[in-house]
Amino acid sequence: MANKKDFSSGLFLFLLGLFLAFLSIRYSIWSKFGPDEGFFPFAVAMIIMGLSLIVIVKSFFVAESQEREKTSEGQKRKIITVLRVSIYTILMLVYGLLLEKVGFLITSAVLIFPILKVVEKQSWKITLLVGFGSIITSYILFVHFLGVPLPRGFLRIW
Amino acid sequence: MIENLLMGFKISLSFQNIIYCFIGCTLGTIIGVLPGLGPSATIAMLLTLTYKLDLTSAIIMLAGIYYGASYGGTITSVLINIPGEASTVVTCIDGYQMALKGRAGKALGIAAFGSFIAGTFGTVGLSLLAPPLSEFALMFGPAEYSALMMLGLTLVIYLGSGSPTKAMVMGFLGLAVATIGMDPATAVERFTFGSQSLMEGVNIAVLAMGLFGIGEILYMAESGEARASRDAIKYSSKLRELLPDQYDWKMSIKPIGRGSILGFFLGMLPGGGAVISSFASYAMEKKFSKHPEQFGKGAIEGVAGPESANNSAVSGAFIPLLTLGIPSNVVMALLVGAFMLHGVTPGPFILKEHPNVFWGVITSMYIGNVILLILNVPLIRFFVKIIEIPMALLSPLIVLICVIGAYSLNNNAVDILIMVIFGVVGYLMRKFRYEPAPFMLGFVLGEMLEKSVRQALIISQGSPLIFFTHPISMVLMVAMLFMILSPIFTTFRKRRRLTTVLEQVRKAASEDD
Repeated sequence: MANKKDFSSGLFLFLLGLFLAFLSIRYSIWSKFGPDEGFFPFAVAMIIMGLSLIVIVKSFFVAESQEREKTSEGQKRKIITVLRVSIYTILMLVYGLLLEKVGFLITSAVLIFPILKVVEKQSWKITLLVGFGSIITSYILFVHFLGVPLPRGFLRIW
Repeated sequence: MIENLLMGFKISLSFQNIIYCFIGCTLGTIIGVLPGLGPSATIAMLLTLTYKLDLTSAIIMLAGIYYGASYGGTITSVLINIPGEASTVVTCIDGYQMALKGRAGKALGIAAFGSFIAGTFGTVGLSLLAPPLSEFALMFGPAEYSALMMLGLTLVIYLGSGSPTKAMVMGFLGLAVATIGMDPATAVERFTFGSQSLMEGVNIAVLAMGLFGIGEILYMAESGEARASRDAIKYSSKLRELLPDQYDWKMSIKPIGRGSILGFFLGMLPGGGAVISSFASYAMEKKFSKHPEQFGKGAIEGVAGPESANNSAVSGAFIPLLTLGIPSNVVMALLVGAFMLHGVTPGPFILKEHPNVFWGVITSMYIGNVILLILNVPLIRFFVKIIEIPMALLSPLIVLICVIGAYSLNNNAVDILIMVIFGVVGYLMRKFRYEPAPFMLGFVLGEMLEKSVRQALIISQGSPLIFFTHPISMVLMVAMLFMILSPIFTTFRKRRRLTTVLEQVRKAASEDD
């Protein structure tokens, strides 16, 4: 296989198209008046499947621009990369899940301090300075100037 | 026409509106100058700021944000060879070379002046052409609407930078995401998985913030410490350095003129007019030039032409929006959001029903352009400093702005989760080399395209021939088919030309690494 990235992404898109087609046929595709709510998604799903097959077939013939060496160093860097991206993602998801229950102030602290200290490896001084600075600034901007009612959470503080 | 323009200026030119425009322009540049964050992400992030304003003030502030963010992209293209968005990719080629030769100021200066001239041309063109075209637009039925939008999607795919097949998959994926929510015709909930928040579909600002903002942050987070090491080119802060001299003007004035005209007309077609026109302008200037060998080595025409073209393309893009109600790119779609919020639906009736809005919008965009010139050009040296702040500090800040921004759109925390999911999607797209732009355009056009296709098929009782029997629709469909099939006949002639431009960008970028 010449291009693993294209092959795997093509396969994923094909399965996604299949899933979409499967969901679409549960809606009405065509009624006596013409196309119904399932028609457009079903057609789109079919085309996605067709195109992703082309991506898969092409992946056997078109070589990847540069294959990375599989050294232990490279493997280690890959793990760190995945970790960094995951921590960012998980913290943002946690933010979305907790914001309304816990409130803006605590949730924002839970988001921003670990990113600054753990992921970006800043000194404590910079972590505290940037962390508190950004939380307070965004609070003033959104709540006072824009009147966005940010959730206060169970502690009834901001 | 002149009275109408004057009326527009009367509406938009209040002291308060100018202040809003100044704030928008400044904030837009501050965020737009961050590497990788282009106008779409910036507008989506800052959309909340305009929610409490009346429509004219909101549009004028968005215009400021838009021009600020675009110019921010030009600054990063010239100084660090990283374009903010696809429309400034070409600027990297000669802009960065000029900067290496100590002419960064001139490159940024001519970009600003060129944009201003192009903006003036675009505003005049828009006020001349929009009223007659909105009459013409009344002849458009569902078949014509569908054909025009399909042509727009094809254009983006055809002229995209990567693999056309991949771009096409992304376009259709965008169309698929657009079907999430309640079907307006049958009131059936589609793909909501029982979620109340998905009933109204995915919010465009949430999607843009996720795909362009969070996606980029995650992609940059990969490389860790390494990303701070890129030094911005030393930039002289004297205003004199910014002003192009007589020779520069002589070289640039024709490219600016040609770019303005080209950009305006290409911008009228739905689908990334700014991107296409900047590439087309670069190719055209290289052809017209007496010394084409200078291109890629710091030719000022290579900055002046494309930068003017992508600016007047914005004015051109207002034509389908204000006459047909079709947003032809993400920026226009975000503007539609602002319109709808104030109960105005853009389309063929806007000129008759809301003439003040119509002319107010046209003049607002122009004021945004002027303010960019008088505010940003002298302040470039301050904005350049932002590039030097390490991403390690900026990333958490952007993340915080995005999560609060997503929440505040509807005061709904589910929007944060949706944004993060599309952020991961955007990250994976960058990783697996898929372009987010066709995805976004598919999403933007999706709802309208589905509606038009279904209406057309109902009229024709299910026969797809309707797209070929109506004359306007037939012309558009033939143009589309020609575009799809032409590479086979002309042995990739056009694509090859575009590829050479891209090769130069890549070469310049790799030399820098």
